[in-house]
Amino acid sequence: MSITGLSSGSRVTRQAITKHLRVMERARLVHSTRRGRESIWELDRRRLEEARRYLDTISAQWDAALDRLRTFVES
Amino acid sequence: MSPTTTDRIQKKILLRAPRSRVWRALTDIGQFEAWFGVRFEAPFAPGAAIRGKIVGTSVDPEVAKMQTQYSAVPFEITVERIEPERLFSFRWHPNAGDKGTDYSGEPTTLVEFTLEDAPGGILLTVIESGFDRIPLERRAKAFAGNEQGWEIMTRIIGTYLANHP
Repeated sequence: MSITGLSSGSRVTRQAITKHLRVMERARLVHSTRRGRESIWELDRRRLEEARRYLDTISAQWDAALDRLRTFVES
Repeated sequence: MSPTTTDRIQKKILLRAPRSRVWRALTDIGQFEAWFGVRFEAPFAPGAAIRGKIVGTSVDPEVAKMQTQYSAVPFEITVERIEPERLFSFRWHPNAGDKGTDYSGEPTTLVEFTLEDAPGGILLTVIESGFDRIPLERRAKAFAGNEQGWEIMTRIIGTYLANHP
């Protein structure tokens, strides 16, 4: 997607979007290619998968901790 | 700021035990250590920042073995509220499992345990919230919702900007 596409219908400015796309680029969540004068941005699906797995990990850690709490208080 | 779906994790569990038993398991540091697997240096008190060490749960030896791989990782909580037998909350750095990273300057998440009466025992609710305030790069690794592509990314950018004017 182009910056124009990303900023349309948003209150966030093009400059702000570009700045944060660069942050996400450093986190390797997105990458860009040049098309003429515009950068076309793409999400990195594999990185998103990693991100989702990481969140799932936090969630699973709570499930496991609460399971141990149940064992502890019910025994 | 209204809470977003990317801001929190919520869990509920029915514990078939008296309220006082559940409360002690959460707020007595010796009992907390037994199930959670972290040994704290001082009793929980509102406002207190308390260091802990990952020593492994005594409930499950297999889990304890995995936990103790992280025994060198610094662990600290700051207690927020203690409302006897009803609510216990603290702040910490979510999933701060990398001992090479200094998390101390970063925002924390809030963990709240709430006890309610329920048929047959106590309904315990755990909410960990504040993921929206975690720095973008950290959160990119620490939190992602459903597969909604740009919509999520745009929302994260919007939230990030709202919190970093």
